[in-house]
Amino acid sequence: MIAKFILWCYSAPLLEWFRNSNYAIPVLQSFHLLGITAVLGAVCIMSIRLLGIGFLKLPLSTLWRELSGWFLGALILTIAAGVVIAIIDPTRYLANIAFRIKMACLAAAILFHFTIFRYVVRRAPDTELPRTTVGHAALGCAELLLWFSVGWGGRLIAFFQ
Amino acid sequence: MLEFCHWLQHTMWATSIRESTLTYPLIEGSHVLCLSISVGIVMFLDLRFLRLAFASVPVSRMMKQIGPWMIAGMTIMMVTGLLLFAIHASDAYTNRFFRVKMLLLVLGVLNALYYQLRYYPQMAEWDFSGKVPTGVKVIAVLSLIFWFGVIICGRTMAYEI
Repeated sequence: MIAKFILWCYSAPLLEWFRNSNYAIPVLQSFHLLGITAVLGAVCIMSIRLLGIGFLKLPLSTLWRELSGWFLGALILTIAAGVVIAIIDPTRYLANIAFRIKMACLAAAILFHFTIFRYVVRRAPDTELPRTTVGHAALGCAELLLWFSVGWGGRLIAFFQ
Repeated sequence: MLEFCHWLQHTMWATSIRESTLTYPLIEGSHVLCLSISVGIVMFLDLRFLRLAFASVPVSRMMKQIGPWMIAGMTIMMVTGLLLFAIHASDAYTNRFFRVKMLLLVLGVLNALYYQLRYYPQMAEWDFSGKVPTGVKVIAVLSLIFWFGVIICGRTMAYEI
């Protein structure tokens, strides 16, 4: 089934156009990078607050309320652009160890963010909080580690060609 | 200038970094991923000015919370950017996307400085009233255009080097 899909990727006229275009890949990668910037920006703000080293005047529930919509939109943009980039030349990416690690980290990051992270942050009281707690700090570290692993995985794809 | 760039690119330390297995990917990856704590954070401040995010949070509080991290992120971007320029100095100097990137970077900084000089001194008044001046909204839109343009040019210049 995967082999059929790969064959389709290399024969589809639209994807052929993308492959032969001088500007399609840079444009797609630009959207991918803009999306990553917004995703990681939101992750940084929330994680820095959880770690108690910044944004102390912005309650966690406020941060979640204000950032989650932008985070989701940016994540959709990033994944959409990323999917198109990958299916333009699927064998190049599927054979790349850094890409595989990136995808594994992405799956873990998405699962973590929309389950444990969301559960804890949404329930944080909307009042002045102590700087941080052990649980919150661990949550912030895990969020940063997972999402920046995705980012580093993406950066290292070019170095594992 | 081109001769200087050629000399810089072929210095021993620039050559050793460019050919390194670990150092070059580390610098390049840091430059890209630190977009999250520079442009990623600036983006949310600009969205606040436009009242598209954090509308319930006073601008003064946002700026105070975000400012130190934005400065730290921009500093890392500048340091890694200078290193990357030195490594590919003559290639970057002749690259049209790099030149546009630098122009947009300067415009972005000037835009921020203009805000500091023109609107920051009266920020307490308009922040208290809850109404963001039209000029500040224009600055916010320009900021998003300039910084997103820097990202797009940075991504696209790799295709000309």
